Amino acid sequence: MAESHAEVLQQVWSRETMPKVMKIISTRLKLPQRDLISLLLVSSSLHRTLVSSPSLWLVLDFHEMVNAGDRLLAALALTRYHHVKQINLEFAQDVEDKHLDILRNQFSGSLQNLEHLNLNGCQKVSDMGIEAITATSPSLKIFSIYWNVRVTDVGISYLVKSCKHIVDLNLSGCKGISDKSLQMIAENYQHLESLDITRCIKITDGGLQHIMVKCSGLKSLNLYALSSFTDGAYKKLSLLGHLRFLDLCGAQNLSDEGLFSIAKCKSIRTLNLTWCVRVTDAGVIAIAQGCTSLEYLSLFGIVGVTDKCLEALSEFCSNTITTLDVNGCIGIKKRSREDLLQLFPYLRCFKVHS
Amino acid sequence: MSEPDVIKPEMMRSYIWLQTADGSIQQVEQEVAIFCPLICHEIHAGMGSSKTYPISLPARVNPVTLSLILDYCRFHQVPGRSNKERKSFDEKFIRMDTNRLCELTSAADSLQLKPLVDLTSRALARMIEGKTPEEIRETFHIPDDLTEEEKLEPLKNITDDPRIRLLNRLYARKRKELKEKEKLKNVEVEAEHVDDRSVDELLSFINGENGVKTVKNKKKNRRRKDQQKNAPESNGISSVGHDDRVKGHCLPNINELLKLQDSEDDRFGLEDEFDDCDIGDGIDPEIKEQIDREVEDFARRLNSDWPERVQELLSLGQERRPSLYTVNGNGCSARRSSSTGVEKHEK
Repeated sequence: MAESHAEVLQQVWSRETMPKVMKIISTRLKLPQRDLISLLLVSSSLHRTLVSSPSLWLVLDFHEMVNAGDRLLAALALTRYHHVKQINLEFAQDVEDKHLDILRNQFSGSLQNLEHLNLNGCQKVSDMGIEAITATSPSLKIFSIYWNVRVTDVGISYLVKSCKHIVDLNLSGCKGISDKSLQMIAENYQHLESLDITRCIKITDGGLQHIMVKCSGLKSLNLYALSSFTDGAYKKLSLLGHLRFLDLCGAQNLSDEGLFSIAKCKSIRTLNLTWCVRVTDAGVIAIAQGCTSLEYLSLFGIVGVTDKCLEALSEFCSNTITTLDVNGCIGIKKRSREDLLQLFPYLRCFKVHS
Repeated sequence: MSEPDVIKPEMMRSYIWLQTADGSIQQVEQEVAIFCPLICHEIHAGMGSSKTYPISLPARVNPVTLSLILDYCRFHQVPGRSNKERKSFDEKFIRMDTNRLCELTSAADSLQLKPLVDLTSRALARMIEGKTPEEIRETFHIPDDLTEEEKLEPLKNITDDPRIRLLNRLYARKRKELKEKEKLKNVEVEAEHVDDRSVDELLSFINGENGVKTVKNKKKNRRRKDQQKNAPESNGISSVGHDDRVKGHCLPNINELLKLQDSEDDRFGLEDEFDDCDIGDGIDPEIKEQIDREVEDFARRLNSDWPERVQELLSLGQERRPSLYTVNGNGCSARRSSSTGVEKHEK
């Protein structure tokens, strides 16, 4: 029975045109994983076309999913993921050391290109899991494991042993980390660009100083909610000439002396001084004079600063400041929205700390 | 076929000849045609200057799609247009049936006209977004011919999305909270404090702001055995207020604040979240959008209340049983920024 013209057209449509179009769409835009998988399950020709486009299968995203550990293993068993570059398990459930162990034992071939691993919130993972996953991921550049209290210096020792190219490390909330880890990080990652040690409360001046001396390329440093550092450490921040982002929220020992040193980091764009209660005008004025590309500044809760510091900021940084939080700065008399816009014409955001 | 404009004698416009796969030939103003990189190349190679030597367009370009493409080019090649004008044109331009949109994508791609491919791709991506495979088949008229093996896709989407559960739980909690607020204006500040934070945390979590500080500050545990821990922390807050009253001003004791946030961080609460709510059978995209908007609005309202709550917390020493809706009862002027509401800085 000969196919009618209509049938031929339909076949061309579904077997040639549609796969081509879907391939165009998915390679040009970053389709969410969910939609990509749905497309895979539309038709056989679509399946074939998409699977044979390697650029589509470089990311595995299981964030917030249940059974993520098992799903990850099932995914890595598929050939199309053999060159995966990024794995996202942020707040995924059911990710345990045993899954990472199986990854190491059975799927190490698929992880050779892995550059970005997000284990944020995977609280069941311990040092042993870290040992397993780092052993199989030599190309890792970005590693994030926030809010995990089981990780200790031992886990970090595995990281530095197996992954030599880390540039971005997020250990926020990993309270088991101590100065020892920072020393290892400093010694092994001298090209580190971003470090987040929010709430790593065991760390002292000594640990931090290692970083500042060795990681001179650091662009982003997050010391949020770390209140035990002193000026002894803060003064060494001047060594980080490339620093663009610095979060010192809660740095209650930071004095103007510390800020004089920080003012030497000329490239700072973002500076969070929320609750840095010892700071006065002198320190902020120094920042204004030194960090002339400043875009984001929070002085939230600092009662020792006055209108003087705003004048200085306006004099030096009015072209660049777009975010300024002076809530709770009762020493500043003129800080209504209108007052601030007069001083900082590009100001868009007036509150960051909430 | 495009009508040529009136030709001014002093300025002869040149025309290019294009041929589509069906054999038909048309004449197009040169400045319009060269907007397509492929045609531009052909012109530079010497083609298209006469009817006998037209530029042969790729097979994917039929007369209908060519006409659409030329309309697009004719509009955008004019240099003086504002971004707003261009955007407005684009929005109207892509209003066509799905099939045509697909053909247009394919044709524009073969002519290497990237801006148009991006435009149509985005429109198609919006049509695909959130749809099940069956729905996609229906939208694009594709028959289901998957093999059994292909159907065994391990990453298949299952409706176990924890976000949906969290969302339901959030709504239930907020409803409960509102009811309680009606009854008890003088509820224990600690409990209120704790409740708000959990809701705020859930909101931030749902909105995907996991990297933003507000989430980290406000993570909260639900485990019952840790209830006792709450008591000493809340005493910490009251004692802060007390000390401040004695000192006569209301500087917060940072350690207390951070410690409170600290201890709550130790607890892993997420597992407990997923116990007792119904999961919908996947969410209708329109309802989903509505929910998103509500949650966003909700977050904005909650977050704009927070600084006042902090002030109230810290001014505990002033009054035994503070009314939670007293503004600046302690003389500490924490000026609230107006109308900008929630603008979270993202790293």
